[in-house]
Amino acid sequence: MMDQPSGKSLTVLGIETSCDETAAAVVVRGPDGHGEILSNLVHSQLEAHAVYGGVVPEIAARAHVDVLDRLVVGALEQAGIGIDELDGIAATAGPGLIGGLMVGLTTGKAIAAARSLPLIAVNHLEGHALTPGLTDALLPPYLLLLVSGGHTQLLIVRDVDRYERLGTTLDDALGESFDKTAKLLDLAYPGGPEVERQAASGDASRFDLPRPMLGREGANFSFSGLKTAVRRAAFSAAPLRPQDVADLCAAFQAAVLDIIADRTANAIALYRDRLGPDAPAHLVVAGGVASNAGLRAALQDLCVEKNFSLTVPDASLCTDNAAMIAWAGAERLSRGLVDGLDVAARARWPLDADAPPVIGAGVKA
Amino acid sequence: MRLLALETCLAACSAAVTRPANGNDGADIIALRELRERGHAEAIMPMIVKAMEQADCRFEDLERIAVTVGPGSFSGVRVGVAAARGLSLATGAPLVGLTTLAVMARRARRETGIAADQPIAIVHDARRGQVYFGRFDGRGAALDEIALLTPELAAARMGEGEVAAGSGAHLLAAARPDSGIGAQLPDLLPDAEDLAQMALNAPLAEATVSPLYLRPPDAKPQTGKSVPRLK
Repeated sequence: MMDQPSGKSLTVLGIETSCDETAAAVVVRGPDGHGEILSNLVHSQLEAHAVYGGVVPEIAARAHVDVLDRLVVGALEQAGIGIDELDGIAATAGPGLIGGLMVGLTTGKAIAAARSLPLIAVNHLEGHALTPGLTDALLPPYLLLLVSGGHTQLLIVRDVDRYERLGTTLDDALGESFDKTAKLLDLAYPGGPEVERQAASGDASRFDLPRPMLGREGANFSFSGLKTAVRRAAFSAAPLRPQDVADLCAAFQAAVLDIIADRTANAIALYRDRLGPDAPAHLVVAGGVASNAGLRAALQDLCVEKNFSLTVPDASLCTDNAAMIAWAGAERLSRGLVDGLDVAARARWPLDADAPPVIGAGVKA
Repeated sequence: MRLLALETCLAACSAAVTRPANGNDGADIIALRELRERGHAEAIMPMIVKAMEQADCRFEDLERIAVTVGPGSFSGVRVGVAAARGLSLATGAPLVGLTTLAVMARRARRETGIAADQPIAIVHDARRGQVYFGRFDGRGAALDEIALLTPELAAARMGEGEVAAGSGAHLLAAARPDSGIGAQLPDLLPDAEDLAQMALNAPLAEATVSPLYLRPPDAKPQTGKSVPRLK
């Protein structure tokens, strides 16, 4: 069994370099388990990748090493504390782009070694999963829908370090399918927010798109068939006028929301099955796609129907950030979960190591 | 001076810590090393901690941190630079960055016994038909800028009968068979002990140390994926 959380205040530096945001933050976990963000800096590399229409791993890794140490200094300054006042160093160790992960984890190890501080190698997905503890003092267990550019999963968060995967995408992640739709329609990069903006002025009924997995058992997702259908519909209407683009975006988003609501409803049933009827009825949505207003509205409707509460952390804490890494680090540190200086970064690192492999899911599981 | 040197750019991993016992020049050095194709990020920090312990040196005692900045494997270069910059941030010790080729030149000079007034070329096989190339004088100073070149262009930069050392030296000899280029030390790698000796008297980095890649990232803009739109 895990040690009980310690009752002393913990101040932790967080470092995040798993994709195209370099981030550093300082978070305090109070003796009562409540969290406070002292600083939360993000250096986006968006422009460096925009011309390529997607994140280029080597460009990302180069940018991380160029700015990370200054960002750490900035996070400490903004927090108004010295390194002496830190109780631990938390760095994302995976999953993600290995070149960037190695920069952040190595920097974290160096600071930890030089100051004899504990190192916490944090799973990026655990950072997302535990964020409601920081923002809303919401404690496990709860049901988590994790929707980002790299992952689309439904999980039971039983406790820190204890996750049970109910479903995952079998092909594209949701954020990825938004980005691919945007690219297909020649919208600005990154595409997710732009698809949502276009959808607002579109007619969702004009194009009839499929809803893969809808009505099927379980809580897995599949978006590649939808992507193909959008492509076919787009070419059938080409050359596209602005209204065509808006209508395609609206139809795509409507299909996505139907799928998400259907899969999440099944996950709610599975959650109640496994935790019992008296289990806390909380749904948490995290990851970059959580900032989609249509998604939040669809899930709000579902939660009303199912008698669940819905928690969506602020957008700045749903997209990649280091405050969630520092917080997950503090939660782990309070339970004595620390790592050695030889810990390795991992491109693939499922939260639920016991979940059966899912064909097609690859690193997204 | 208390100095820590670390090297992770190529197929090895090493750390060295100077001990002040013998004064500045020819300082007493604790050096640890291992051959290693991958896994530098896992190996280097425990190795540094061990070297520090063996040298009886605390991190807060460090007066300099030296690192090889490349050229080498992109990931290896970044691990070293990230480690050095993180250690500098946490200790306040200033940084010294030297190239892998300059550090290799010191060792090559010692192992070949080449005359001090002769230049030596360090040539590391960079794959894809190119080499990392640099020429150094007897004091270790670079004679011209370190470059990524084809073996032919690199060979053209060398004088008749000069010595080339390193994993790419034979490529130069083959590219210019009539030049009398002597290829030596095919297994030459940089080592933190040489780096430490050189860094004791090297100028400090002006602001920080940055990777020397010499090669642009592999990345091509994506095109031709959009549906035609009316302008």
